Amino acid sequence: MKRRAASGGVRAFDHTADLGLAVSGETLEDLFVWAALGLTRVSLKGRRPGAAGWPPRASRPDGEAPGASPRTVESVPVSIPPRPDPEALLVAWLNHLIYLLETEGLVAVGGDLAINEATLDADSPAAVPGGGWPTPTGAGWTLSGSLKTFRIPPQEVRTGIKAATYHGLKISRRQGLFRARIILDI
Amino acid sequence: VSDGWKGPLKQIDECRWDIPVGYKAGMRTSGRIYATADMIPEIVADKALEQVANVACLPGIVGRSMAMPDIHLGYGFAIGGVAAFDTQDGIISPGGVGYDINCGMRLLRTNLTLADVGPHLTALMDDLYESVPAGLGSEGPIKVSRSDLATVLVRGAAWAVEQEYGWPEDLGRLEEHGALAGADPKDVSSEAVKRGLRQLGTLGSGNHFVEVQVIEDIWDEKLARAFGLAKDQVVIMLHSGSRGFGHQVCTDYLARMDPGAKGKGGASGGPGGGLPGGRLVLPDRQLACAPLGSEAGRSYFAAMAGAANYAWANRTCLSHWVRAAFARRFGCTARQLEMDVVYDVAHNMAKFERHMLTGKGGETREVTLCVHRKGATRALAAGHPEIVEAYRASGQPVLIPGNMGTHSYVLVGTEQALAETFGSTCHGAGRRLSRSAAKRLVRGSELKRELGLRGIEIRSGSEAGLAEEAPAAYKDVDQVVGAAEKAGLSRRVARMRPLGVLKG
Repeated sequence: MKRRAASGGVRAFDHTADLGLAVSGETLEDLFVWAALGLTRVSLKGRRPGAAGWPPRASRPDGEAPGASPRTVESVPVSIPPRPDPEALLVAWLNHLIYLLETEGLVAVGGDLAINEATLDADSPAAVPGGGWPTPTGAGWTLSGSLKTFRIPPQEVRTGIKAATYHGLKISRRQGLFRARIILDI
Repeated sequence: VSDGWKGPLKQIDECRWDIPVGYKAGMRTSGRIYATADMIPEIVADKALEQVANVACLPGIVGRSMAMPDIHLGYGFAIGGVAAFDTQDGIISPGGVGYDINCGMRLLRTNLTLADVGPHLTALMDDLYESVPAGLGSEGPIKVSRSDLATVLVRGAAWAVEQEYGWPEDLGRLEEHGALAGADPKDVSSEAVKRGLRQLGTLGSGNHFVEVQVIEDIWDEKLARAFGLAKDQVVIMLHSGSRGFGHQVCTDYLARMDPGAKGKGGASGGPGGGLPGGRLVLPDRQLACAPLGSEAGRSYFAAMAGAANYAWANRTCLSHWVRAAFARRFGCTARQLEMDVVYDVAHNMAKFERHMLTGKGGETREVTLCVHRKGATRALAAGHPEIVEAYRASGQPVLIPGNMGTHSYVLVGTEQALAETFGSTCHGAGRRLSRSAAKRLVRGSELKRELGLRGIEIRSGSEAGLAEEAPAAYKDVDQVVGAAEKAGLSRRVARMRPLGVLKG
């Protein structure tokens, strides 16, 4: 019987002063959702990989809170304006999630994302969040969709993450899965 | 060590090691590491030296790409990295400053001795734990409006003093008087503003702390007196930075200057950057940068200066909670306890500074350079015009934290540092173990008990966070400071040991 290939996932690994996420997914969208779930896992206090119901599957519409009583899932619209390549889009995505956690107390528990490579009219430069500056080439990779989130109190945050970095970051495709290792500065 | 850095490292003398300019394509200058031989195996283990070589590839670098004795792996630049760039053809790089812009140290003195504080230490640490907003996601009681925040970004510590979170005379004892010129709120994103509104006056998490210390050793009595320090005196050391505001500024500008994969686009040639003569291929994407004269470069400096000023306002507000806790515990005012600021100095910053350069023919000329210090401390010698007046005759105090189980230091800047490292020295012990490795070594509760047996009171919101900062996770600060002194980059003035530690 033919074994079905793994459908992706995320695990945390050690890195000098900081830590990283090894992420995989059948599609780029899956990879990005798993990365979001990985960020949630390292952010939350006392949540362990492999715990019952954790991480909620990316495809699950109403993922339950990891090891906690059910909480209300809030759907948040998300979009990342054009970035030059998928790696830059992944960094921007995770940094946006870090921002959402710090300012709104929101952590990702699932998502429905669309990632596209857009060709833009050179005369209509796209905005980067907060910056308003044009993308380098006038074209790029965009992300849009909705993120399923829980709102958590600050005392449940285990690890303060400053940012996702480009350190050694490369998205590759092997054995039918997109894969990336991304280092977080904590 | 086997999977560590394999490049050439040439020993120059007891404390100097060079990476030759030919080591990799694109290097414009050599790399120099300040360390003793016994520190080298640990330094080569983590590939931070490749980052020193990468920085040597950046356009307009003046002098060497340098690393202080506490060097370890960073993002883009190594932690402990120092590099200066020409204002005409050089660059500015957010990776040369780091995510925590103006992360830095402040030292407060008191007129109390160990005998005064000892009996009250437990209660005092409880008071500090209650007073100082610390930990993950911490929000302080200070809520500022957007227009207030714009003032904070320009006026820095002076804003906090005007709000009575500090004393007017504090400003005379802060690097740049607590406000770096050139900040412009217009160059800051709305995301950074939102993160900045609720975190002023908060310590943060990670390696940030408030430590009650006692001065145990004095190396230079005259200088110690000039700094207001004496043996057995109780002092308070603070370590914090620009919080989420600074992180967002760094994130925003790394994106803006991003060269893209394989060096295409970006700052380094991109829309706001535009290096003359075409795009720059960077050895590491985290080294995204822009020419100093470009719109992106100017804009980053203005935002970075705003974050630096946010950090000075932040440390001023934190000092206010510390002073209040001491005053409450000792039943008098902070002024009666003479809780003056000794000094406040950044260790993550890019600054425009005047330096003397010596040409090939031996002629000297004074130039303005943009000096990046990432995990390195400015260390100016006596008489330097950029030192605040209070210390111009003595030399600039340099504040070096150890870890919660060992010493911290007050050093002073030297002429040698000015001549060699653009007036820079080390910034701390430097990490040697990952956070997870530290946690595998010791549990937070054990560590707390162990340090308690040594008379060190620990307060921390998170035991896991405490274990991550275990003393064994850091290099030996005595060794780091010793190497900096042997190399002539700074001199020891005083050494403190911790009595009580409040971890963020």
